[in-house]
Amino acid sequence: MAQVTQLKTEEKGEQTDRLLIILSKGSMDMVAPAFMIATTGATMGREVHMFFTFWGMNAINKKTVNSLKVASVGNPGLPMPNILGMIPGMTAMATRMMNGRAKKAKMPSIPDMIKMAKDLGVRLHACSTTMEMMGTPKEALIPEVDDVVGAATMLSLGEGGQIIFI
Amino acid sequence: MQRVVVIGSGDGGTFTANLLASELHDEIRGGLASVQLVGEHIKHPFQPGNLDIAFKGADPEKYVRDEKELLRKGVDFIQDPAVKIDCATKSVTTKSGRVLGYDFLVIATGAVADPSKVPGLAEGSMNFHTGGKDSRLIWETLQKFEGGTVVVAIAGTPHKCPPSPNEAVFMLDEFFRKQGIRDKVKIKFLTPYPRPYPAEKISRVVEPMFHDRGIEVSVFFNVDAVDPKEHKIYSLEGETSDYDLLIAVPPHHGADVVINSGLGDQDGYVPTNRGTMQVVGQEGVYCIGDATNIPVSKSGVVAHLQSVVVAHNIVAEIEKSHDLVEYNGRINCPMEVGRHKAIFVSATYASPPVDQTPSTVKYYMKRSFAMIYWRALNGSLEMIFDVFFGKTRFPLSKESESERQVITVKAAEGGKADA
Amino acid sequence: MSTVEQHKVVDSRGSFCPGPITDLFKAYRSAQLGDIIELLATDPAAKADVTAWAQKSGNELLDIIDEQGYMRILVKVTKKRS
Repeated sequence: MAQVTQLKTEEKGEQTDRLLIILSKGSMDMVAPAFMIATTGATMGREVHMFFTFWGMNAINKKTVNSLKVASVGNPGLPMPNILGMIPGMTAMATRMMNGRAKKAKMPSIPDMIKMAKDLGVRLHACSTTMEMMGTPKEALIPEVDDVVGAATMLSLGEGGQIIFI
Repeated sequence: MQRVVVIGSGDGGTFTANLLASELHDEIRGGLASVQLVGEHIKHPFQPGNLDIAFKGADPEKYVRDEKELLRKGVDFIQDPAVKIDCATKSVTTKSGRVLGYDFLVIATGAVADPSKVPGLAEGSMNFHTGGKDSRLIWETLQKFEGGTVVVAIAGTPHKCPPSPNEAVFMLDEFFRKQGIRDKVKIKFLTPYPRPYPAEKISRVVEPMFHDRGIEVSVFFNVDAVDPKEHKIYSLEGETSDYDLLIAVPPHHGADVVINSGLGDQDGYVPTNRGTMQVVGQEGVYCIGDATNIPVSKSGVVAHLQSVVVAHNIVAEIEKSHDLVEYNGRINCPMEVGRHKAIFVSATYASPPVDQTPSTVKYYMKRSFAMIYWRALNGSLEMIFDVFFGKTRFPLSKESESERQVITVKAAEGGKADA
Repeated sequence: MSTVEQHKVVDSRGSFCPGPITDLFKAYRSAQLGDIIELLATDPAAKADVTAWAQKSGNELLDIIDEQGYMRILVKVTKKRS
């Protein structure tokens, strides 16, 4: 994992608009869009940072990145009554259905999207507070993570640019 | 067992092999199909990088990877150039004498930039179409250039990457401005086309920019010969231009294996159906990318989109679903115009290029593509490209297929005397 | 090498971008002074392009004939670097 990021907008030699995406959720229907926005912004030349906090850490944890699920309860977007969603096994089924659809549309997997984001220069930052709370060691994080930072640093990552909270 | 052989491990060949390995995964595992990729080189270069190497000093190593690293499991890579294709016996012979039988063949052997085809050109000019090393020579020469006339010429058509000559001009202009010696340098652009860029709407965007930046343009300049001693370049039309530094896009032709196998037209390109990518008059043989005779841009994007069609069509033939698709001619050629701006020359067979406004976003999109090229070759990012390019493959229509066969045959015979 | 003037027909119908004019150039490259090149094209731009080229290069535009669904453009090679 890289050293703590020094913020440089002039790094590329050109002024580019910053884009900070704060991801606090860990279900696939939240993580995938976060990466789509990040990579799109990067292709357009913006300096993109992603900050993973709370359940967002699932996307950068080696143990969970390959098996993100689709929430089946309390998910107003999913066309299924909450009570059905509570039945054991529903989460797994909903996830399988989404994964099936995604595969059919040949959607890149989350790990592929992470690699593409890195290719395009997106920086990934883990939340120090969450890690302390959950007792997550640095070694548990995927190698693509650039560093572990706190809230203050995180906010300055978005300075002068756009902040999107998921 | 259905054997698919792909010849040529460039952009199109590599991508086609990967797509086939992915779509035929189960068949390959079960020993019912095989995908073999026959390629000459151990390394795979990202050719658009040549412009950055030549005019921005980029490190050539940055744009090269090991071909093996780029291939999916399931692709049998044979690093041994193909020297003969025999459609009668459905076999491919390699340099070391190995003979591969095929049920389906994909010819992805590209186009060869060859300065030796114009007298004096190899000795008198530099170019960025023959590879990273030759491109690097341009950069080294530019460092020592203190003033004089720099001529950028197109010495043959078609050539790889239609916007590249114009990009070279824009980048040279920018380079000399950065060096602070632009006023000591005259930049001239010689093109055989009727205008600074062949497509009219794009030319209308490029021409004023050339004019504003003091670029001298000579149109209808068909390069005939170069005098390396006198530093002169001559056109068929009788014009002459002096130069201190000549950067010329060489004439191109098809690969030796195509020519030696009798599959090429007068320029060594393979007569190909512009929709299905089937080779005219041959069963089970396809051709993609720069190697075809189709009058569409010779570019990686085209090879990529055609690969998707070919992989689909071959799988359809193997699985006997017979739902062939055809390529709609979509091109997307980025042209950097300096000052961190770019335009896209974007068209299909049915609609010619449209007007474009240079923008920084397009500049970054071009650069972004270069960053994800290697990953894109394994096929995992297709959905993203689908979103960007829109629908580029359509189900085949019987009428248009037979009509296109006639046109493609005529195009192949074009130029021959009638009686 | 033949000294008899040749009449070459270049069929560029259905060709596009930039098609006909480059097909003409191919024929011009191997032509001799006095040869006639007859270009068949469906691309409407061919007329203007060939006319402009003939004017600039000093070659002679003989005729443009509109046929059913295509055009025939006849050029005589009167100027070419030997």
